[in-house]
Amino acid sequence: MRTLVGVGVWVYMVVAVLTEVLLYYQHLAYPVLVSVVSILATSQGVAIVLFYMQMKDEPASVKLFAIIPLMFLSALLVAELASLG
Amino acid sequence: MYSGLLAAPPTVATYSYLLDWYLFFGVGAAVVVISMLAVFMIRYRDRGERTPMPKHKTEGWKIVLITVLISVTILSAAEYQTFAAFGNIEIPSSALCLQQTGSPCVQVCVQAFQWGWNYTYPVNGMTCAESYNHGLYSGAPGNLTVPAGRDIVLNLTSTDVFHSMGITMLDEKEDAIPGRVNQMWFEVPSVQVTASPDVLKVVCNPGLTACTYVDAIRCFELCGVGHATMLANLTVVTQASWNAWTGGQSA
Amino acid sequence: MYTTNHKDVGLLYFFTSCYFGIVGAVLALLMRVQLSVPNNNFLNAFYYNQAVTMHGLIMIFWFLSPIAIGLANYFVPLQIGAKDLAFPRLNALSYWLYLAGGVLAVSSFFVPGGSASAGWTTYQPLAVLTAGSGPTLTYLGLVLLAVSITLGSVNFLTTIIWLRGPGVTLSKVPMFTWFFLFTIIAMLYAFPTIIAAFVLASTDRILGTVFFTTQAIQPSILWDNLFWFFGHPEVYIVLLPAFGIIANVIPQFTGRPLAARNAILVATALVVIPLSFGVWMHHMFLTGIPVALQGAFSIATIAISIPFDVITLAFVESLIRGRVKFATPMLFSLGGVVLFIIGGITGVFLSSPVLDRVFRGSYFVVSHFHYVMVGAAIFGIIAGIYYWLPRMTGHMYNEKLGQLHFVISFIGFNILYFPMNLLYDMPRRIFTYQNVGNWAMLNGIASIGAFIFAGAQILLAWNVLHTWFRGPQAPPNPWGSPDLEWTSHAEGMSPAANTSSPAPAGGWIGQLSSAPAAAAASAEATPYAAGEHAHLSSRPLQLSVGIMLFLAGAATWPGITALGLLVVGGLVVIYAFWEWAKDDMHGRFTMPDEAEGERWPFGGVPKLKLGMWVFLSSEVVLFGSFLGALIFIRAASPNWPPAGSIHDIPLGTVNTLVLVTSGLTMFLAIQAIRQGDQRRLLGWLGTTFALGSVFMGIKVSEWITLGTNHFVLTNPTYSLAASAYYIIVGLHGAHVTAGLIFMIYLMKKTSSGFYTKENHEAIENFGLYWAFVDIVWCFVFPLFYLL
Repeated sequence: MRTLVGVGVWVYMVVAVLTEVLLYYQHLAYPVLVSVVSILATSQGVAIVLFYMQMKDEPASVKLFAIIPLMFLSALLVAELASLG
Repeated sequence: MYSGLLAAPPTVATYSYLLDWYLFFGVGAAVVVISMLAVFMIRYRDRGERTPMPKHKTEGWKIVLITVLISVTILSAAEYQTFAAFGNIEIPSSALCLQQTGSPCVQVCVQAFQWGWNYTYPVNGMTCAESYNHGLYSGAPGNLTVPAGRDIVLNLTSTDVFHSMGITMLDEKEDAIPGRVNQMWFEVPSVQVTASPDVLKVVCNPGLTACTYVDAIRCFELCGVGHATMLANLTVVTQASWNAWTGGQSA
Repeated sequence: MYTTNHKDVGLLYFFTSCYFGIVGAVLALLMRVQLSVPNNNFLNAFYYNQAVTMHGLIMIFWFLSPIAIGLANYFVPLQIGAKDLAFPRLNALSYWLYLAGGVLAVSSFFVPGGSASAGWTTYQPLAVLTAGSGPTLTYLGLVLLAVSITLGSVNFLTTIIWLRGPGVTLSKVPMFTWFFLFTIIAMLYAFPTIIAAFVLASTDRILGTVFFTTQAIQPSILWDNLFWFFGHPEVYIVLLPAFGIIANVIPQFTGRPLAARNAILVATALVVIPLSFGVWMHHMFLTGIPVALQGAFSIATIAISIPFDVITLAFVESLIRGRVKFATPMLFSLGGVVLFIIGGITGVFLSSPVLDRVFRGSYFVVSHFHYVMVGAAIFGIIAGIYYWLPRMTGHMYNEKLGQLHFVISFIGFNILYFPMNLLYDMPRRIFTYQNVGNWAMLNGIASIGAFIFAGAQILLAWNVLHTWFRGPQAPPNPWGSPDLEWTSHAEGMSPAANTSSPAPAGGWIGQLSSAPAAAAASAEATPYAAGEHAHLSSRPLQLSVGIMLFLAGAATWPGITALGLLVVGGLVVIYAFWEWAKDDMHGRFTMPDEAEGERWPFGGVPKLKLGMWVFLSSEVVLFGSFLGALIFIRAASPNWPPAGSIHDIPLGTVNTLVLVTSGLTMFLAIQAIRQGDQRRLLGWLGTTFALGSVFMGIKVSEWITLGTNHFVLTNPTYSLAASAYYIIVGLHGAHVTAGLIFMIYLMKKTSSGFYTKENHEAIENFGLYWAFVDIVWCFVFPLFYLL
């Protein structure tokens, strides 16, 4: 059962990577490409964390170790870009 | 963006007004809390047998709540004053400048370098980038020259490392950063301002049409071995002298 | 030398940081001599700039944090009833890396061109443009220190969460441990950013990357963001252990419990997460950031004073209806609170972007942060030293001398720093000045205060040393404290705990009435029953020496000496790792067994796995900082090469799929051993290793192609893009390579039949690591190849 889930995640990963590359060749408007690729990359990350790293089975306290740094990082990124002015 | 209407450039009074607020709250809070500490320390000092047994009360959520409420009130009042002064530090675009004051702001392009400042006074309508090659240079190198009673906008950049220009007699400061243009604006009310403790000396010409404030400009960010001596003079001239000096080319 | 015992390591930290503190203090006194009169020529600008820079770096990184870590090493395990830290060898490694970093930094004074001189804030581009190998040595030393602290915080976090003794529930954890817990959470997320920042700066200096020399991308702004994102939490990292000591000390000398204990903890938690990471831009108010950003960060900054108001007033309130005894630790605690009030309130002034026009870069700022970082932090630390001295030495210090020390310190401190508040129009870091206004007088007073304050510390040194060697016997629990470090010691108060000294008459066993105390007492009494030498390991020292030599070589590159250092250092590192692995293979290093204690809220998570999660959490910030820097550079760069023009997209796609597939095979390896199938485990591990190797192989071939296509640092067209690509992809590649090497070790251990259904923690944890490396690539690939 778990093996099946693992293979399923792998299939999703492959599809996501290929989608990213295919979208690149479609010459979409740059902001569109950036948003779609960001969403896909993030979804890949989430899939790995939840299933390969099996965070879905961990207590909520462990999940905090994933959420807190991401919270800080998004603040850093937003402020960095905003300070370019 | 915080004030729909444009305010005047910040003056020494802007800062001293704000500083008074902060000093009032700050010194007040420090005095109150430190006195409390001192009073409790003495009142409840260990006097051997005569001290009543301590009453154990561990959680004081009520006190905490009161602390938070008082803090929030005081800090909001202080922060409100800061936001009220935001209109003074936000620099208007050239068009707004004209609309606001009736006459355009005097633009000066400042390039910081190791270790000094270059001033370029762009002739009508030129941008800083254009005017570095064609602009009107100061007759007396090293002196930032500005007319009294006008709104002055400095466009600061740096050709090498991070500098920060501070004119402490006006309480003004802004960073000069390579690859970036930052602005700072101010007004010097008259040629001869009240003797400021922040300058080495003031030299005025006999007719009082120009006063030079020696070492009024300093660098406030460590920029190498010349940091301490990255000093410059500010010369304030009358509007008439300014017009004569620029030949009417500058605004 | 080879010890991994937490008390020994604690003392090593303590004395080493005192040494660095003295170095920093001497530099400070040199500066105060230079500034005591106008137009002085005692130090010229060249030496003054080095003094001001190294004073800041040494005091903050090699004195303030480590001395707190030293005390924590000694007392956190005792306070929670643990036998040692969670990972004793890692702890020793942290210490040796800290020392190695310090040696690199101090050695920079002795190379031509002198040490770092761009200020402790290392503002760019000045710092990368300053010539000489001295600054590089310092910056690499800093990277080592930051790595040491990151490892240390993983260790402490796991310890405090996982190793609490039976009965030591969170509500019973003493305040010092609580505050240190908050400190390490801040460390865990702050220090990776500084690693990223200084790695980028160091590669600029050594390899010729152009992150901070490309003016068009506003590198100063990038640096300011990275540096202060770390730098502001660092203030709390320095402050909170001292506050923990103060909170621990005050109730001992009032005879009543701390007021509003839970409120203090909630307030501190709010300071650390999220506030301390949301205020850094108040250091950048004048860098021309939008007014909206200034407003937002001003509000966040002023908001952080609310929890501190709660904490400070709770300290004050803790005196009410108590019996206040003015012993030295209490005096320093209360003194620290008073100085913090002043330092905190000047901080409120600095939260205003408008007033920042007046104060930025002036002595007002210098005064503010010294009131916090010397006043509150060092006074708190000194309180801790006096408080625990009887526990560390078994001897009582001289109370009268301690009180005198406090009085002179407090007066000297204020003579030193209060005049600086009035010097708000004098720029920082100028090596000389002409007499403007009251500058000469105020500077003169400050210099006198500096010598009074420094002189007072001689009393401290004398008192500590005298206590250690000649002090009278101390009672077992001189303060009548209920905390475990006092109530639990059954084995006698020897500074070196693993050489047991006989208990003095009357015995050391204090109040062993409560269950947790008794349990912890028995735990401490037999720390290493398995044998005295089982906990010794020379590998941390060897590894640190190797890394130090290697980095020294890198910093002084090029040259024959540098080459020698690189080679020797590299060999020592490889040897140390090799032997470390062999030690593990043969089970030569054993750790004391841990009794099942209190682990809420992390009940079901194994220790190593928890450590791994914590470490990866920190790695998220490390890679995030690099990728954030990349995104910043991309957004700021006017002429980035368009996607597809440099990198081979089909090849990159194939390589990505290879790595993704290795994620699956690693997952299957874990599933195999969970079912106890060793043969399948070996098979899937082998497949993962093969896929990882293919990934690295393709990577290398790509780099060779790129190199031949002039995608190199020295090509002005591509220098920025190449810098970003090689450093970030290289960092990821290094992580993959480290994973591959570790996999060899795992496969060897698997083939010897070591891992079973019940015991395969290492495989699980490696799976976490490998999956993480996989995730990073999911972001790196599109960022470089597609966007």
